[in-house]
Amino acid sequence: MQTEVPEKTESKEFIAELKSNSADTFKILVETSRDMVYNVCLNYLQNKEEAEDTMQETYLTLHKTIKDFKEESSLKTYIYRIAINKCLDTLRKKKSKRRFAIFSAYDEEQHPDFNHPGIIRENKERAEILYRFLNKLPSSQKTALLLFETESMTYKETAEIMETTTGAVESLIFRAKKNLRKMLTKYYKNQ
Amino acid sequence: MEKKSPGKYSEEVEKTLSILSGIQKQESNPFTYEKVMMKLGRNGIQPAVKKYPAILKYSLLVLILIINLITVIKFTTEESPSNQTSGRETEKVKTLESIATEYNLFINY
Repeated sequence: MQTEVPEKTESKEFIAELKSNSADTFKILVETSRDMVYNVCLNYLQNKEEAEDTMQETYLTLHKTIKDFKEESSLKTYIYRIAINKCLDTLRKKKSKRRFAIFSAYDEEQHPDFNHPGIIRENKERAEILYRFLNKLPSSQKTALLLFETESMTYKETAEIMETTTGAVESLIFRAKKNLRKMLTKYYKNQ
Repeated sequence: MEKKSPGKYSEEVEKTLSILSGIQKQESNPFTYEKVMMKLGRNGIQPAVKKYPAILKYSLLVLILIINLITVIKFTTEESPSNQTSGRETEKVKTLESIATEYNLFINY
């Protein structure tokens, strides 16, 4: 399984080939980065089908916008950025669907879409609680925390993806953890 | 009812938080590329096919032009075959006419 974009795909020649619309180069990029993109989407959306669709949308956007890629960041950062934006779009669409489905008795709390295969069985229940509160965080805090914790990224890498400073990322992660601790403590107290 | 101590809560909270860093990486669909290309095709974007170097295109064009030129030159310098054929035909007609005259075949009864 490949969860890292190889060095080769970061070369100027590779990016130039990609920009010239080469199908072979695009295939190499998809094959070497699909696991990375899928895992980001899965952690963000916690649903296999949605993660799969959002991953495909990420590559469609990448194919469409690669010509405008200014190479100020790495290709990996660029892909992550698209993937996270696509995940946010998916969540927004889902939210608006729920708003319209108010009469069909759809209840988020009763039917959480939690379906993350990367969590071992004995932790499923605990993870469900965690993700319930994680999804209540502001999107910037959630993104920073997920990139840092689940993708094992550094503050610098996270800052590059989120187009912000390292200090801002540190603060976002600190606030995210603080908020989660607060919500979880309240939850366990009421149990 | 048994009440949990504050220490117990924080232990639970930390246990729950630690799940984030222990999530196993998952393998994506091996047919992702094919699916993306299919969607690209559906959106009217043709998958880019590897192009031949431009020099090959021009070489082929020059080669075709040269072959055409040689053919034109060959045909204009040689005697046209249709002329040769019509000459032979006239000879045949003359021979047949002479035979017909010899055997009085032109006489109408």
